[in-house]
Amino acid sequence: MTKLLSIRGLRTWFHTRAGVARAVDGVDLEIAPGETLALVGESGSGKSVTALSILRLIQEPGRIVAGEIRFDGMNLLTLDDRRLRAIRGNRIAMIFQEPLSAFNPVQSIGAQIVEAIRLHRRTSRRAAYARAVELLEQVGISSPDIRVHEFPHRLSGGMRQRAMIALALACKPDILIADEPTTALDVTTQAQILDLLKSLQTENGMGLLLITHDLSVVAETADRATIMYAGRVVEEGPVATLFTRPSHPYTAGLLASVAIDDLPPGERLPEIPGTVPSLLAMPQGCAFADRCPKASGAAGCFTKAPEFSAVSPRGEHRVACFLSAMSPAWRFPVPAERKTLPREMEEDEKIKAKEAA
Amino acid sequence: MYFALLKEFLRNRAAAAGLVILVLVLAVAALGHFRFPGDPWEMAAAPMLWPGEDWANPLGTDLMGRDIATGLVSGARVSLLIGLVSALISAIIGIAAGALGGFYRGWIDAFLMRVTELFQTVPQFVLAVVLVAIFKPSVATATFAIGIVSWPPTARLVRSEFLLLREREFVQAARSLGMGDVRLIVTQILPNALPPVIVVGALNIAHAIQTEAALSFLGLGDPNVMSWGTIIGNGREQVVDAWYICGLPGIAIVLVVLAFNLLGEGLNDALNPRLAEK
Amino acid sequence: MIQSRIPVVLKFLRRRLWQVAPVVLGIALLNFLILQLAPGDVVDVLAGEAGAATPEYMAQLRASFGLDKPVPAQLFYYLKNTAMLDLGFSFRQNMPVLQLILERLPATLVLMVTAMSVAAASGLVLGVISARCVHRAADRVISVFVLIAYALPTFWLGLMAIVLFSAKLGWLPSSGMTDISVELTGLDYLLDVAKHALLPALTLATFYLAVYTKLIRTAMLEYFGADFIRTARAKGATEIRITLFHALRNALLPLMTMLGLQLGSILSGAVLVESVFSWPGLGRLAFESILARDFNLLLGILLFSSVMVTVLNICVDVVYASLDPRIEL
Repeated sequence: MTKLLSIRGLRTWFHTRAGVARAVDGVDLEIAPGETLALVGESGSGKSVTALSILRLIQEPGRIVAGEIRFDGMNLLTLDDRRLRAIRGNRIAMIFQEPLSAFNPVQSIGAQIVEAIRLHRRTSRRAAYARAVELLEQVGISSPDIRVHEFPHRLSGGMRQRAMIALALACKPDILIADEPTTALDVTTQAQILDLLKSLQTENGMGLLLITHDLSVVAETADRATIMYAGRVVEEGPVATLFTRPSHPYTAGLLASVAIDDLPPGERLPEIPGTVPSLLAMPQGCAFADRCPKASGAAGCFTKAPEFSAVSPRGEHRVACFLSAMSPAWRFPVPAERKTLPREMEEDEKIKAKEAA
Repeated sequence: MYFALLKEFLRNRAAAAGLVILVLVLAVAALGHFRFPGDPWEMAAAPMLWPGEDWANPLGTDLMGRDIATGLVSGARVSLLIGLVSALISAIIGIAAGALGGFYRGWIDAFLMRVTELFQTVPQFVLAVVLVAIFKPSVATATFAIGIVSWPPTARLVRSEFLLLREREFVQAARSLGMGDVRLIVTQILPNALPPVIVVGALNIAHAIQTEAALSFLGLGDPNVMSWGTIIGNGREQVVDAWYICGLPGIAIVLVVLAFNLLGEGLNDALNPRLAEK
Repeated sequence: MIQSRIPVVLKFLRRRLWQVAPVVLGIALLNFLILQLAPGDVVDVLAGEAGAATPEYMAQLRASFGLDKPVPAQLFYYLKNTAMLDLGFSFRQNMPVLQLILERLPATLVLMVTAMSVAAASGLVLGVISARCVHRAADRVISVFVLIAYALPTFWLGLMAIVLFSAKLGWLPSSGMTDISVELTGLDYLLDVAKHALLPALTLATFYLAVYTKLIRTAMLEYFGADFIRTARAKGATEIRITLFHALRNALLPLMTMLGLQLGSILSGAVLVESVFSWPGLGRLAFESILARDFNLLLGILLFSSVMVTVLNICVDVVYASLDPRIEL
């Protein structure tokens, strides 16, 4: 399958006074047209830095030190500034976590959408405004012809994020990167925004890179997921597979920690023991080894970093773990609740099982 | 803790430079009269000698034949004295007004804030001129006038610190132990509110020295005391023919003001390490 | 959009103009307090002790201050006079104080506005350069300049400017507002005034130029890390556009705030600059009244300049609100 965007060996390091923080340290991922890829991880796992690296929006003291980001036959990391700007906001667009601070406070949202259009299209100001109204309507903002003149602080949080999406869609991008688009919003608004993103994606056929720490968002929205831990990818695969048969102990732990609905009363919440290692002093071996219930010296968990390898026959489910790689049959226990997936996912599973057989 | 602060402070090269200049000026003020023992008002040599022309008067003489080096030594003392004392007065008024307003709030705060605003609206230097002119120019009136016109920023700062600190746990705890208001203000809140006040204080000294010079320049200096502003004011008529008469004391003012500004900034960086990172 | 704001601005102005009244009252009280505390009786102070005032003038003053009455009544007289804008009569200049002040006002306004425009414009340019080249050579040079400009006494800088540009180089006139030896009209007159205004305006501007440069640099550096700048970059905007259109546009807000806070200080600076360059404005008038010990005039100037600061502050607020949509007038 042709990939729209593929990242290989991305390393983005922050050179601080205290030392070099390897925020992203060798990340690979791919997105196909029309696909939704969830990039999952805790805060500080490097998922946002990965997203910002794609459009080279990393600021000092951060620097992209290695890797390749291929998009439409170009390597974005070596592109000159002019060509890069022609891609930013035009073919790859981005929306951010905090819609209030992401808008310029002294400009109307209309003016900011118009700017995005006119940076890439030769249209009159009037035509661009008409397009902005159209976009605001498309993202479900009522009376868009009035709201277009409104300033960001006058809109509600949900409205602002809708306006942000309108801004990102201004030039019909091939890829939309959404960096925690719903984190700052309340639960009902979250669902609305996710629905909106899904429907816009189907409409425009764009690839969606959804960065989130929220597994329920992943389950509802994404086709595939990439799990990051301490700057590295630990596991990737179709969401259905990941949720039913997680191969990395970290993924399993994440799933267990959200499956609290079926917990008997009085039972302790399952949690992953220990803390994320400091990015300034990464362990020599697997970054997760210290917290891993199964890590063993014999397997090499504490001495060298595990390679990424396939654990499914067709290679779409891959994991970076010595234990899973050595004994593919070995599985981490999955909480009962996770065995019941949304219906379409079960269908998916059946098809996959048939194919495998 | 204070040692660490001092180390942080000295690591800042600009602040260290400020400190060096200041020590030099202090040395001139304290020891200068041993080298230049004369009366700065007395005619010492032929008038309008250029610097270096006669080594008995290394920095030259003015229109009346008064020795400029002697005048500069006298000016250093006046500047430092007025600068320090008036900054102290301004700090005392500012802390008192800010502490009372921030601690008691209510109508006391409202009243004090109105007064503060009034003093911020009045052009400060013009008010200082009026005060000195009406109460007759002298070192004392200049010092008080400068102190009286320059306290509002300190008051605002102290007030905002007090408004924050009075809600903090340690203050509540001390209050619940039955500590009286005065002790609460002086022993609990004030020490914690002080660091930014010290920074403002250093900058206030610099500003006070400039104000004093400006007053003397306008002829509102103490008629018995030779200050840098006085020398410049007296020399302004001959500035085209003998610019050094005005130039040298001006350079002295620039150096001292620079030193206090550097010191203030250094203190600010040492007290707010987060900002220094930038 | 613009038109719909005009009534709002008018309403705001009407509301704010009322705030001038307590300022006038406050300054009048302050003036009265100063006069009461001063050595000798009020009329002795006001007439100066040089002995130049005639007995008739002294008697007239005593009557207008109600000096035979108790202090509260004196206060009442003083406040009444001030409220009616009767700032008294200047015996030395033989003119009512208010008329004297109004005559000198335009020159001071010209000087202040020119100096502030120069300071704000150059401060913007230098601040932007400094922020764009942070920690590089240009930034360091500008920082050193700022540091020195902070420490330069305005009046001394003016004198040194006269020595260099008027005496040694002979480029610019050193005093006055116009060339009194020739009659000029129209454009020639304006050019002549501009030539005379250049040195005083630049002298007054230097300190504020330093303040604004530092302010803009700090604000820009803060904005360069802001989320909305990242959004602009993600949209594909050029760095120049980001700097000038997004960051600088927002940095104008703290600049306006600072300008409003410094109006009083600018006026104080004008007093010194005017007395150095014999610029015929309020400051020069203040200097003359010090020399003549004309305290009534001096107090009038203090009152009037405070009122002026308040009024200018209201104008700054209107401009600020037009720059920042988050502020409601």
